[in-house]
Amino acid sequence: ARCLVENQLYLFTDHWAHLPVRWIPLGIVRFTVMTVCLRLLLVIAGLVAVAFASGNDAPSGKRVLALLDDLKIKWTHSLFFKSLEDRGYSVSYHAASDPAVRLKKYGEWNYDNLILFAPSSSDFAGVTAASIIEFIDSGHNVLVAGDSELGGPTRDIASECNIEFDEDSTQVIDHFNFDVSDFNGGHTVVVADRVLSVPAFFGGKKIDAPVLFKGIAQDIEEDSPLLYNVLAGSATAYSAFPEEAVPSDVFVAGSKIALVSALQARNNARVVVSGSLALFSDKFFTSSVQRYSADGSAQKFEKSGNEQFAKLITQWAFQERGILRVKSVSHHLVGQTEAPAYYTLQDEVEYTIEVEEWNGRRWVPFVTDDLQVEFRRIDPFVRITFPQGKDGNYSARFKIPDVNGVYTFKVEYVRPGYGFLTSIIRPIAVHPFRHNAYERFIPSAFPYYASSISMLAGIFVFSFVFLYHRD
Amino acid sequence: MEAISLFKEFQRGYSDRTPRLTKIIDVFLLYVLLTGVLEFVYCAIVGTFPFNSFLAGFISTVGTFVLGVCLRLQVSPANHFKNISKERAFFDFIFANVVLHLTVFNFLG
Repeated sequence: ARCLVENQLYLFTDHWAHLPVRWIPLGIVRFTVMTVCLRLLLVIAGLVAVAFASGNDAPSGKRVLALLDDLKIKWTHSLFFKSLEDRGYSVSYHAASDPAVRLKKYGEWNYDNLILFAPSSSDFAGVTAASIIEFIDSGHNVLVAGDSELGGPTRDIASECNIEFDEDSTQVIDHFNFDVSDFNGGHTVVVADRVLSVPAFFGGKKIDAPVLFKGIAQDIEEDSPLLYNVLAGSATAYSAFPEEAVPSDVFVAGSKIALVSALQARNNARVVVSGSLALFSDKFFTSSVQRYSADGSAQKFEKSGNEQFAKLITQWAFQERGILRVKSVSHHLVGQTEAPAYYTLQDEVEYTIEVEEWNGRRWVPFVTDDLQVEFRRIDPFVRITFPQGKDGNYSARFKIPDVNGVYTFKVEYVRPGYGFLTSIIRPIAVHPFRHNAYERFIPSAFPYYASSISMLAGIFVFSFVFLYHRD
Repeated sequence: MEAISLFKEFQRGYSDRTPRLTKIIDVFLLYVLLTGVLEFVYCAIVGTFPFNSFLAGFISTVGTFVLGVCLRLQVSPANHFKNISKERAFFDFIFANVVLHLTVFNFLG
């Protein structure tokens, strides 16, 4: 109801209290509702801004679910988990048989990364193998540890990634590269130093000491462009039942054995599978390493490389390193700044792309000298390697070919250790010449022009001679 | 030997017996022929791009040659075009050449 007595707009105070309730002007109701709404919006906006600022659009979040065989593993692997928490991860520890834990609730993921240290569990109650596969397919990362006793779910998850474990109860045995502490054992505590020499995996750092490994062997498909053998067995390693004689056909042997393997999926999800849970244990982190040799002359390392290796490989696995993204991309005619509606044959075009890399804390420019752009119409007509970009800015100029059609600008960067980088701009229309855009006089036709004109000239001269000759 | 004496006979006969006007036309025809041959050789060497220009140039030479031959026929006293005067023949020649070269320059591109 409109209040005819007081027509002014009151602030949200008690000033209007003297009016009868039903005389509160419509304007005030609207105004108060508006201010309340505005304040609510401001608060929400503030919260959202804070949420985004702390996330910093990192490629992967910091919530980790650790699924363990037994919660005791939290204590036997405390150094590993502590280093994770020191890097800012919030880790939730649950037993694999816990029916209450879920990866996903109401369609939202509860966690960003998964550590699966449950090799011998054969019943996953709350989090099933299928949900873990879905987790990977949605772009999240998983660190899996196997062991000599390997249950079904861990084996299934690895085999979904094309990583095959050997049979249950087999171990990696190496009679020439085992630690001196295992001299009287089955030579199953393997000293491994064949680390994949791709700098992007380890951030360019070298593992100082060999890595101790006790567990089961993996076989990865060699031709796969997505799988990497991060820690390989030595030439003398093989996989077999420790107490039995070695069969004539071993599942996998030598440097084909993947002690630790990695999958870089096309959606940038990363899965690191280790055949040994003990690799991450405090015992191996703090133990010294010395290869057994008959004369005891092998070098002794005071501290094994396990802690360093585990830290570097989990940094890679949880997308703290080696993820690329396109910051901006543009194409235009040389001399302009906006992309035109279409190009014409033989136009000079400039293409610019900015690429960034995640360094664990923020996005920094990515500098390389082997980035290429293709100008394709089904097949590439033009392919240019960018000159080394400054500050991650890559720019190339080229001339559009003589073929009209619908083209695509494509930048694809696939390198070991790095995430997939793809930038596709489509469609780019290239029009043929208009009928009056061709060159007016064709140089190679000048003799023909000349002959026609000379015919006319000849006729002109001839006609003078014909008409005015004297017999 | 006989060819040479035959050729010399032809040459003397030609220079004695052809009227001056016909000889003028013959000179012009020779010029047109040479131009046409030169053009064809150029096309054979360089290729047929642009084909329309080649055809236009070549047709202009061939057409002019044919019209010149027609003029020679009508003008030469040895033939029986009695009722066509030299002026009329010449006018036909010029008119046909105009039409021909209009076409040629259109097609020349």
